[in-house]
Amino acid sequence: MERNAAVKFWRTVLLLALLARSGGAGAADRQVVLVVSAASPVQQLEPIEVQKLFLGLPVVRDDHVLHPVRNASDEQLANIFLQYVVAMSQSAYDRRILAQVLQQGRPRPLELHNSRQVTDALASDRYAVSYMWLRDVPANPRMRILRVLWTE
Amino acid sequence: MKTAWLFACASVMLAAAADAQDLQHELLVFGSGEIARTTGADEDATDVEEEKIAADVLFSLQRDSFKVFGEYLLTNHESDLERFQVGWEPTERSVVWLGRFHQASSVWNHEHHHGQYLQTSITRPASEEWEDEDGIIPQHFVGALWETAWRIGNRYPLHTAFGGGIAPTLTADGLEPFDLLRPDMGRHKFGAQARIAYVPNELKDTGIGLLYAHNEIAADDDDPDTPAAFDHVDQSVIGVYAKWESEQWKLAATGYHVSAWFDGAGSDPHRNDFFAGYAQLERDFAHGVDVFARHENTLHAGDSAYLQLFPRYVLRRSTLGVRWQLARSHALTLEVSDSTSRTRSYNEFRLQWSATLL
Repeated sequence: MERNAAVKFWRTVLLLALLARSGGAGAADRQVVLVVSAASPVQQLEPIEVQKLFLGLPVVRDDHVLHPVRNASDEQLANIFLQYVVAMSQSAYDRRILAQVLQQGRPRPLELHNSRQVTDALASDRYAVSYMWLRDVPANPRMRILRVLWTE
Repeated sequence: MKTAWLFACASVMLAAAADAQDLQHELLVFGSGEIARTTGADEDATDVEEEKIAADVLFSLQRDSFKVFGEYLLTNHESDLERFQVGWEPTERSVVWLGRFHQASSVWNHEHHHGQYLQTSITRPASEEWEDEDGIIPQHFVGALWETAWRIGNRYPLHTAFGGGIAPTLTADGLEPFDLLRPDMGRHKFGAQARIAYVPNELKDTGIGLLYAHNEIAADDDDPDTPAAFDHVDQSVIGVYAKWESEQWKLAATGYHVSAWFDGAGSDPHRNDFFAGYAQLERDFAHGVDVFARHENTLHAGDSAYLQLFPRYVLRRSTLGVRWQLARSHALTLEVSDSTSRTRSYNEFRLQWSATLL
């Protein structure tokens, strides 16, 4: 009887531990992170700088203007970007970016439609800055996370 | 023509020499189609184009601190290289342009240029009209333009623009700017403009500013049988503008005090002043619907010998409209106006589709 109770106790502990671990991993996966190339000179970007960068205002590191790369790989990520990074509607954001092309000839942020393209864009441009789901950040050392932009 | 091609070749060479990550480029095309009808006056009396299809092509190329930027407008009525500018950025918030540009003292044109899709209303206020649309203030210059945002503390709230260059001439059909593709150095004189704006939060459109321009507009005397009664018009413009935006509302207002006097060839250098102003209010609703209203007026127009030269210039207009963003890159706009020019009173009805095509 005592042995059965002990087995039941440890089984419950193990089950709870597994649940806790899987729950923790899920929460971590449901994060959007700001990423750059591992070779990027960018060490830190404040939230207001991130907002300015994606609104088309110049943000400079090492005497170079940084290049924003929009990750449009899924709708939820796009909504998080609009709500938490630039804080405006899709229509207002589009108009603002288009106005800067019209007024200054300033190029629009590159908009890519899958995470692989984003990874490649970052790898080829050390001044590029983008964002992606934490689960999509590859294990290889080509990318570096600057900050967490959103957590579920 | 040669100059433009030289610039274009320089752009391509710049692109070819550049590393991919240092080179930034852009190609953007705005398209629009419009139907307009008037009651009370015909097309000739109002200069309203009844059907208009347009493509506004913007292109830019940038490497490090240097860039080339252009805007080419193609419609079923005209085709023009509206802007062609070569720029140098001494800092990330300052750019010096050489080329053909839109003058600095028009806030409306600085924000919208020829991009119909980004302009909530279909029409622009008469005081902001282009030269070939019965505009009364020169808008296109060839020369130099310096635009800067000045840092105060951690922000850049003070924005300035100073420009100067070859001014349009005054012909029997109205003002005619210097054309880069068909250059004519003949009779052009010079003008200079300035805009100083305070924008407390550059992530918002709210701000106020002062505007100034002085233009010498030469009389075009190509026709020897009807020589102009004056050599040129001196025109001074002093303006003020304010913009305010909240979550759902936008208000933009501008007023110009314009002085003009005829100079040379024995003309009476009597000075005429008039005032032109407008206010436009916009309200955002759900489902991409914007409703807008604008009133514009010109005071002391009857006293102005300069305005007598522009019989189709709209002195007063009240406009009401609705714009519907029906897809991410497409919009439909309906606009109704009650207009009065120096010779006519009439109503305007317009329907427009506009879009970002590239």
